[in-house]
Amino acid sequence: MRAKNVLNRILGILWMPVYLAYDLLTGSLRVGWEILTPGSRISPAFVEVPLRCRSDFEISMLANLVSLTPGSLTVAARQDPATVWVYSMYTESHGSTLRYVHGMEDRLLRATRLEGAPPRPQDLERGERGQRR
Amino acid sequence: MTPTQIAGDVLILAGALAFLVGAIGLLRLPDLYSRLNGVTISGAFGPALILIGLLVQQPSVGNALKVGLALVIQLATSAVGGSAMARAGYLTGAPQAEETRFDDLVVELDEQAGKEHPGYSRPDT
Amino acid sequence: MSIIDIALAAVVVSMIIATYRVLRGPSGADRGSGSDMVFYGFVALVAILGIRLGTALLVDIVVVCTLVGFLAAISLARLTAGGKR
Repeated sequence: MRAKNVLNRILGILWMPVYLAYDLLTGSLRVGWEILTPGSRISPAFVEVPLRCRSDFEISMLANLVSLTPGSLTVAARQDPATVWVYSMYTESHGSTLRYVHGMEDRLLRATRLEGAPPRPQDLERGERGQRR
Repeated sequence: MTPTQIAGDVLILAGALAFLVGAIGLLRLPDLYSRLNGVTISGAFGPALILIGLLVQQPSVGNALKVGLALVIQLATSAVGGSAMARAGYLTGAPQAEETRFDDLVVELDEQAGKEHPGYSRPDT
Repeated sequence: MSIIDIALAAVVVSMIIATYRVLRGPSGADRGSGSDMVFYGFVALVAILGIRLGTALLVDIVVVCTLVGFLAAISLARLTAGGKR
């Protein structure tokens, strides 16, 4: 069991650069296309994203990963309870940005924790006026 | 011209073009935050592609180590610098584009400052 | 005129555009992001120059430049925020 966990973590660490390169490439192409073609199709928003990260290292790594991919940018972070505020250039809805950042968090936690990423929180939908939780 | 030289030249040209795309974004995009995304493109891709092109043209163990170090430092610091700049801009009230749909951060900052706020940002329409 | 020369010209043009953003503003953070871009351009210029001159020594300068550029970006951001945290 333990050997399996260690193997899973090593695989997570090895996959990180591949995912990072993929995200960088797709994000750059999207923003680059936006820049080079006339007209404006952006729909930006500042989204509050509650995290499952706990330690300083995990939160700062996640904030850096989000900033590094073109199209999303960390504007602020808080440690307790762990939250980042993400500026995303293409916001289809509140939930789509949450899913994007949580997907990135899944991959990060797979690499930093032996027990792997905990399941994503479910009750994050907004009320009809946009109330928090 | 050997094949490796051509590959290196193509990589360097691609890096320089990525730079140009980021710079045009600096001119064209509507507000500070989206412009910072343009800077991220050129900060991540420009130096990375150019350094890899350099490594392809002059391959050696020492160069590989130095280029790897420079790549890691460049990627890490451009992300941190972009975040710090976005935060400074937000705190000093840099204008946001008209298209901005909602802003969760203003709720948090108002609550921290003890100001009146209805407790929700603009609805997600 | 080789491909390397075209690459040098492209980087210089983008540095000029970034300088326009530094001069124009409108907010302090905009100027900061423009000067960030000028720093990245400088790093790229040094790397391309290293290829043109055929010396590997300039790669060391690239490493140092990225570190200095990072310090400059952080201190500019702190300066723009003006004591607010």
